[in-house]
Amino acid sequence: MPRPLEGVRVLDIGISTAGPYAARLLGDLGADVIKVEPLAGENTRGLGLRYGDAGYLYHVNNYNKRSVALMLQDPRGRDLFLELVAKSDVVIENFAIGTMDKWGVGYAACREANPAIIYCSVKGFGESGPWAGLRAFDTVTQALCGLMYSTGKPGDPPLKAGPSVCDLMGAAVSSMAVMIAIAARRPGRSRFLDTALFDMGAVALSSLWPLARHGSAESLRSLGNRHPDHAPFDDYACAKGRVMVTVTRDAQWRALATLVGLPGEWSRQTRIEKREAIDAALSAWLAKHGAQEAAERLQALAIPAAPILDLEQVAKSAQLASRKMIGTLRHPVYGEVPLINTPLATGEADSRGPWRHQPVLGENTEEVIGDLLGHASELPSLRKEGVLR
Amino acid sequence: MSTFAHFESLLVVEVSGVFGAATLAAKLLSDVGCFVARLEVASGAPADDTESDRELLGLISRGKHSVAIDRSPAAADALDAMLRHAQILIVDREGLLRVRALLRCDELSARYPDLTVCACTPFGLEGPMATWTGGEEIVQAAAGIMSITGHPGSGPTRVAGIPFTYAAAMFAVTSCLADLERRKAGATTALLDVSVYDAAIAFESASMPAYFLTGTAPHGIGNRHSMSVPWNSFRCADGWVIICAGNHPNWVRLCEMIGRPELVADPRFATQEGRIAHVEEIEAAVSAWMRDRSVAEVEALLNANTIAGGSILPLHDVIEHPQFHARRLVDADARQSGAVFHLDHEPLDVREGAWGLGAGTRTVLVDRCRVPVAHYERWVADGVVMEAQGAAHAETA
Repeated sequence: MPRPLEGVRVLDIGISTAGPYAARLLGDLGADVIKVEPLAGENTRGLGLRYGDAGYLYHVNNYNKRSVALMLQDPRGRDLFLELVAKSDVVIENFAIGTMDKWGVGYAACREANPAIIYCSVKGFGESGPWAGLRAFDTVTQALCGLMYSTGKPGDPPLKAGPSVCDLMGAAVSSMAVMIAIAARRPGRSRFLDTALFDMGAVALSSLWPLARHGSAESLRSLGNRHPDHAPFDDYACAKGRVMVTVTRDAQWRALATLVGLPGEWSRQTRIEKREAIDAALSAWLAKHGAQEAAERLQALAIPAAPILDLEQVAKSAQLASRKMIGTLRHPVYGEVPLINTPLATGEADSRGPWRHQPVLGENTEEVIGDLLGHASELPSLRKEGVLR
Repeated sequence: MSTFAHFESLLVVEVSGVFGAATLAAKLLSDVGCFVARLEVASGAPADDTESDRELLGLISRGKHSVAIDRSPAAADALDAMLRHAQILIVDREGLLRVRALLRCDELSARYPDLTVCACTPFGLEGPMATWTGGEEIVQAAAGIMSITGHPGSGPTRVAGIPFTYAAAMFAVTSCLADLERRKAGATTALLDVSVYDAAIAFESASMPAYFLTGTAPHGIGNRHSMSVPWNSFRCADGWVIICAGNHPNWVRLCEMIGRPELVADPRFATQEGRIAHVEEIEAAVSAWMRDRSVAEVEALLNANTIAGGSILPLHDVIEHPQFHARRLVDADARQSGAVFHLDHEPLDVREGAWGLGAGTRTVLVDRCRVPVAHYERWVADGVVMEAQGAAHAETA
């Protein structure tokens, strides 16, 4: 069965996570994603934990792509990039504002090269607002969007999310925006898509906006694992391990109340007022059961509960295996590489894994610059003069 | 304001029990111009919703059109009419069960071959947790997110808000539109199965490898970065500031900013590896400089020195900030959330639907789905479908 985006070509000129992961998601759907890297390679090739000689983040963010290494600061490199734009449908970049224009490959130049280009600008704070020019990493946007203030246990310093949630949500919204623009495209009509990590951090907290509008800043400081509007709602120690329990509805409470010997008619407001007493009764019941067993027994009564698992437990779980979210790719250079598969759904059970390996630096220069652009005879001189690799 | 006129012809039907990824996915489709009909069952029971609950419902529902039906078999005809005209059906687990039960049909793709059906659930439709109930926090616990969030020694901690639910909603929208593209090419497809759990696992791309490579599960490291130093939150005289000066040029500028230029030449700190190995000494130097300064002073100096960082703002301040409003994340009255990206340098148009219970019943069934008026009136008279009456409550299960 054809992949949904077969025939769509995407230029990925991003670094780190937000841009490259957005492009990879489009690759997961079958787009021909060409990663344009500097001659020394994109930064994650040399960052953090390595698999072979490449940072692991590179492996995860860049499968289902091809790679060309191009010196954009050289006029010939710039021209080759714009030639690629002319033969592509989408450009995704996540450099600081003004960088692409400085290199002569910003939206205006891309649109001139291809009047129907879909150009996605992924930024920390977007292209508008007083913070548009600020330097940003995921952590900075987590701090400025309110997420760090509300994450963390009461009494502890503010805390960022373990995963780079703003980066990855930035990638998710960017791939979604591009998909929307592709689905709605009209001949000869370019589109400029402006996405922001800050926006994503802010909307991740949208469930708390009403509380923030009506309450004090203090009321949302370091929420820990509790919810200010629901009880019982926390993590609890079990005979073995810990479990998260989140009762939000009366029916769930009635089922739990029977189990822990408390009145089932307590309303939501009463439950909040009696939070400590409920927690004590629930803790006493949980102390007799392991976390997995407790969660299964609570779930059997339609009470939201789950064991709190570490990544080893997750990696070995039947749930993860059934979801096919972890796979192994046989790479011609790196051998067997364990990878996280795509979260996108195509309706095909076996379509989650990579269909193309993550490229080594400049692996596809011949087929892209040589064959696609027709510059095969110039490759030796372009290489010799440091325009490409 | 910008819009995608193309999507006005798309009818999206949402059937969801509780607030979650399905609700948000339908909201996102509404934001880009789709006509979203939300199917609801009227209930006489008063809900114990708080003002915040009702406000949240408004934030995510205003662009949708509510269609109210009862539980009778005849309501299946109304749903059938909607699905025959719809291009996308978004459901959560309860919604999927309800649709299948009402239509007495398990194979929706066979009955509606032109319909993209997308289930957005906490744990997906397969696996031992497929039938588990729960929202964001339950998934964060089971997917390992809580185990990698936390200060050292503070224990597992959830991430505030609903980042993984939101991400799953965006993945659902992308998956649905990709499915429409494939249908354009003549292909047929099966049920799309998107889960919050899968989104959470996908977001562990920097943590899961640590387990793959070392065999040891990583745990929360607070606000530090495992690959870059200095990178942490620091206490000022009147609050907290985050500093992310992980690369060498930033390190040099930071040393100059804190009046310790000699640290640049110190061989212990010359490389990233060296700075990681000596993180305590480096953070002590930064902390000593920060502790008597105000957040505003530090923030201004970070900006002047082009070092990534900033204050740690409460949500209370964020939603009043000019940046939040410049990005149009809410409409002018803050009654409805806006679209999550800008198009051609303009925010997307914030759409007004008919989201009160039953307020969109006639528009959806008669105008969009071509149900004959006489037929529709009979449904209304029989109580099979309901129009807005003001006092009824929507059942959320």
